Amino acid sequence: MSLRVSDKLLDKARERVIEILSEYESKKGWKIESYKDATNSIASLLYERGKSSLYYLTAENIKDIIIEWKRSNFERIPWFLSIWISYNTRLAGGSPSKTVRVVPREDSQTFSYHYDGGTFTPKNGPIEKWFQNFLSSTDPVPEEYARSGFFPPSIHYYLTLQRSQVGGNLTALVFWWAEEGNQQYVWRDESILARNAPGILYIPLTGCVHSMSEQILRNLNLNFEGKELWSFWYAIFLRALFLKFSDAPTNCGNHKGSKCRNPKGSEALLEKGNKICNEITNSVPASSKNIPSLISMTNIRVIARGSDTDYGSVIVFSDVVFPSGLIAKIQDFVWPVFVFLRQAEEHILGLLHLKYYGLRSAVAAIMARNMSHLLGSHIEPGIQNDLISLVKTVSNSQLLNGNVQNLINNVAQQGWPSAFRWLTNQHEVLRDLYQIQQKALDRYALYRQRRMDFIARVATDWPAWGVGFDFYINFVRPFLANSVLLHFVGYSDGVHLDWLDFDVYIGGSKVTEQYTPPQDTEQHTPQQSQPIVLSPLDMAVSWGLVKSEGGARYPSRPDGYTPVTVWSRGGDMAVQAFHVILENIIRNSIKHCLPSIKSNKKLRIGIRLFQTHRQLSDAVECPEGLRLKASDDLVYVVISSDADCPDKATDLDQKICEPVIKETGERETGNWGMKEIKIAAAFLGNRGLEEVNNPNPDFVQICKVRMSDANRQYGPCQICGDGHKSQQLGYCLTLPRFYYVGILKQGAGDVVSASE
Amino acid sequence: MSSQRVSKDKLLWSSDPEDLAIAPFLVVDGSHEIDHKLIGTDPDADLYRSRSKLPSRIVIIDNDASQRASNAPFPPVLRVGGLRVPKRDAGQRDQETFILTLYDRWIENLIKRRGLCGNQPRIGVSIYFEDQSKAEAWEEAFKNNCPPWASELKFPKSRPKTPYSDLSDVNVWRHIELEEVLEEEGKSPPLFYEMTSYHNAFFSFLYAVDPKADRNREPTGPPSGGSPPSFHAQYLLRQLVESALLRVLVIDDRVAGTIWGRQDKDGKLKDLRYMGIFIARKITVDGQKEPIILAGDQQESARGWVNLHLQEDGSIKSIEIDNGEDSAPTPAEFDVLFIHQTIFENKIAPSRKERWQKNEWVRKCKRKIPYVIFHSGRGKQPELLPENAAFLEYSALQEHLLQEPSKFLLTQIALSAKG
Repeated sequence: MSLRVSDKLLDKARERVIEILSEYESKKGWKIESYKDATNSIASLLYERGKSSLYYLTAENIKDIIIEWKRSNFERIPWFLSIWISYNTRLAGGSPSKTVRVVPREDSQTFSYHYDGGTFTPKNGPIEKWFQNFLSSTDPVPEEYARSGFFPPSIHYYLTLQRSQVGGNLTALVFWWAEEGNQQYVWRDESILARNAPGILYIPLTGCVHSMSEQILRNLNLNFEGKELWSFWYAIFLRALFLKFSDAPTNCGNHKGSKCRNPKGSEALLEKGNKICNEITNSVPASSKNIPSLISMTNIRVIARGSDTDYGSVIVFSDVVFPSGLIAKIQDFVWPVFVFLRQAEEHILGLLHLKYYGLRSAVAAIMARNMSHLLGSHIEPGIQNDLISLVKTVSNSQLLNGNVQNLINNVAQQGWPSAFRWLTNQHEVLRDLYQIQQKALDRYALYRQRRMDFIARVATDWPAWGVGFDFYINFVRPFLANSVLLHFVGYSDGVHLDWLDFDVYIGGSKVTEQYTPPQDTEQHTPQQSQPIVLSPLDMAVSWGLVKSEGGARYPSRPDGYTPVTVWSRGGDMAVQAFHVILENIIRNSIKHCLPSIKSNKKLRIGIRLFQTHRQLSDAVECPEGLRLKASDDLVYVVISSDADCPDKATDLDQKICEPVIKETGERETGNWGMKEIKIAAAFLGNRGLEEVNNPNPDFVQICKVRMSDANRQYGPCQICGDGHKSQQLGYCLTLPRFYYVGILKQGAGDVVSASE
Repeated sequence: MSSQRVSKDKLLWSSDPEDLAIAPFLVVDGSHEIDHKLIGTDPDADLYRSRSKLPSRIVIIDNDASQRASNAPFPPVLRVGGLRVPKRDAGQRDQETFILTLYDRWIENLIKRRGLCGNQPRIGVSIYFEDQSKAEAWEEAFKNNCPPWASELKFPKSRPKTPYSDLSDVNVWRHIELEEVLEEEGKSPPLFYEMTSYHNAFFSFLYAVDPKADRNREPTGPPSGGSPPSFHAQYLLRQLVESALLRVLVIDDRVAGTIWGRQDKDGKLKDLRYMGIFIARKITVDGQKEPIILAGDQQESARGWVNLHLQEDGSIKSIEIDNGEDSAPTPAEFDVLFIHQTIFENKIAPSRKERWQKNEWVRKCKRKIPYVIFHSGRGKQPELLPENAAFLEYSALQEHLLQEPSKFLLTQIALSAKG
């Protein structure tokens, strides 16, 4: 009758673990701002360096339990113990399906790992040698293993692959080496070694939980050339190891009546096994080399009492095997620790989900409300109530001849259907205007559809892909040609399409839309033969008068720039984000600086693209310093308005820094237009949803923009008074640079520390 | 970040393939150990799920034929020799040369995949700008810089007229309708024809690109010796040809219904067909009593529309182009599939509620059509979508297919979209 591990030891160990957890909780208070915080919190909880590590402590205690058991039962003290704590964390990278980052640490002979499924170079412990050696020189790599996609092979990868059997994510392991004086043979079952089978086969027979070896057992009866070839190699290796140490006969013998089905080349395999054995024996202490035993693995599942939740497992590699009583003790010790951990995680997840879904909901609410506020309250009523005002304004374009104001008034009174009755060939301009109106509505309808798609996307899942788009052609030009939007965005304040103008600079060059009238053209055009620089008003005509085969009567072309391809997130989604920002800036200018706009009868919007952070910093003046991230991966866009007061930069920047939601997940009130700009800027800059709540965003900033002489023709906001003509208020944004080819770096070591 | 990420000008290096998802091409050096997530050969494996997060064009540079081969299907994986991965100190010119050469190899293989031109994967391109000076500039720039896959590059200076000697394999002509070109008797129809119009963003871009040289760059050749075309022009030409070569199939009730309801539905369908875009009308799924009809009546024969026969698990039994009642249908192959999420969920695979079941459907489908894109107007709902297919908003389809048709933008977006 064997003695048991004392309850005192178990209690002491458990108390110490729980004490650590409680200390941590009281100290940190589980303050969670984002997924990143959550991951960091749990990571620092689970993987603190050295002996304060929860896992280390747990493993240390398991070691003590094993030793005490062995001593109490007069069994051989193991010369080697490798204890892996594999807890199935729910906080893995913010997603239960993904594990937390690898944090390899080395503290004397204690290693702590956390495996995240990425590239990872294991340390050279004996367990690693096992796997690395017998797999890495195998040629070809067994398909089953190769399909895993993990290189180089190691025990970590294998256990991760076998996660469903092992349970949990690999998190820590403790090596324990017995002191020479501790080695003793008190009891030894000769019959075990007498069995002519690899040592690992013995384990299931003793009642240990060992799903891996069971798997191998099963596979031994399968065709070795089948899918589980890798497992077969594993068994062969162990067999070779066994033969090396036990001098047992080379044939398989009659283990439980099963037949060994060695494939061809078994001698080579044996040789290989011998080689590995040598390597392993060289890596273990000299004093232990003569021990006629094998390294075996015991996987102990941890399931809480009264629960069917699988919390993970404890994996022990050792030269001794563990009777079921000891395994039960280890389970008994570990499960409360895992349950406590899980409770802490659930708490964190609760906070996290509250915040995440609160943020998502707030973002959707802000975007939807602003769409209602801008498109629903300004553009749509304009279309319904006074669409003819667009026609009236467009008729002033320099591309159209003839004064048709009176005719338009008639149309306004009678409506187009009646007007068509009296329209004759004499009224061709009017027909043209009708066509312009319809084309403008088509473009606006697509814009509206895109906006709804954008809101749906922002409220669900932010895309991680993008496409290379030309900045001017794909981002800027469709906005300039959106005459319905530009006409009605300030319509209620008396700001119409013909008051809006845009200065677009790319790489220092001003981009213009030009139309060169053909010399021999039929008249409907001005008499000039020189290029005409088109305003948004003229673009309404140019984009509106399209012949049946798609040709424009007044084709315009962009002039003065070299194309700059940028990365457009989610295809056209980033274009919409850009347009959302433009809309808001125009609306803000009209709302806050109307007197200035009315006095100048112009609202001039500047759009400038800078290819480097240096160029940007030369062009702007930020009272608090330029906050935008400096990176070769980015280009920078500044949108300015000549009506806004540059002195408001600091105040407005504070507003744009405001979080979108509070700690409780509740929406912050006010400044929704600025918040929408922030959301769109985060989307545009390829940032995550969480960054929308960043109080110090490095993807959007409001600064003063230094203006060149050429751009000072209109005065600043009258409210500010004079003296600011050399500056405008500017919204600075980031856009990802477009890379044509991504090249995979191969072969470099990718192990990083937690601090990195 | 655990990955090591370095960028320079137009190229990006990283040890983490997912970092590189933002680029159109992923290049892997075949002389090194290759992660089998990238090049695994078994389409039934779960590898495709990982791959749907990666660039749609994966090129393994393998200069030693004795190295381990990848039998992963092309596309999305292409294995080539005779190319060197640029070093990180590569100058701009070397980078650009590499990018263009890479694209050339990709295009050559697309031509082969289409079974065109026998052993010589070459096709001709004709672009009509309706602008003499622009045409002259392009002709001059490409006179001595014809891409290896191009049998001819034509830039008609004046409006092409019958006989259309300026017509080539791939044609982008401004303001000349397809019908006009096809009227000529005895002439075999072109492989690709797109009438582009003035507002088309693609054509605007094409038109805006200066083919001669990049403004902000130093000339790379002697002033009199004819400097190579600008990088933008060269890259754009390759994008254009790639998009022309890709055959797109659209399964969408709204698109089908819109076209079916048009007065000029036959003409519209023909325009799209010559752009390599086909619209599905009838889908027969094994085990379902009635075929799924996306437009028109069940009994009707509909010339030019596509009929599909699928197994319940997504395997494609046949894809045929309907040639009307009097003619047998023509079997067809496709490279890109757009599928309306609602049609998939409610009609094609209503019993496949679980994600893994949807993954399986896509896996099987990809055996015939390598790029599968789900689209919807309801925003992306990851929990309802398969993990191994891309997702796109419907408005993108609406714009680039119906409102301002542009095969160029449609395919560039399709090949960039990810799950």
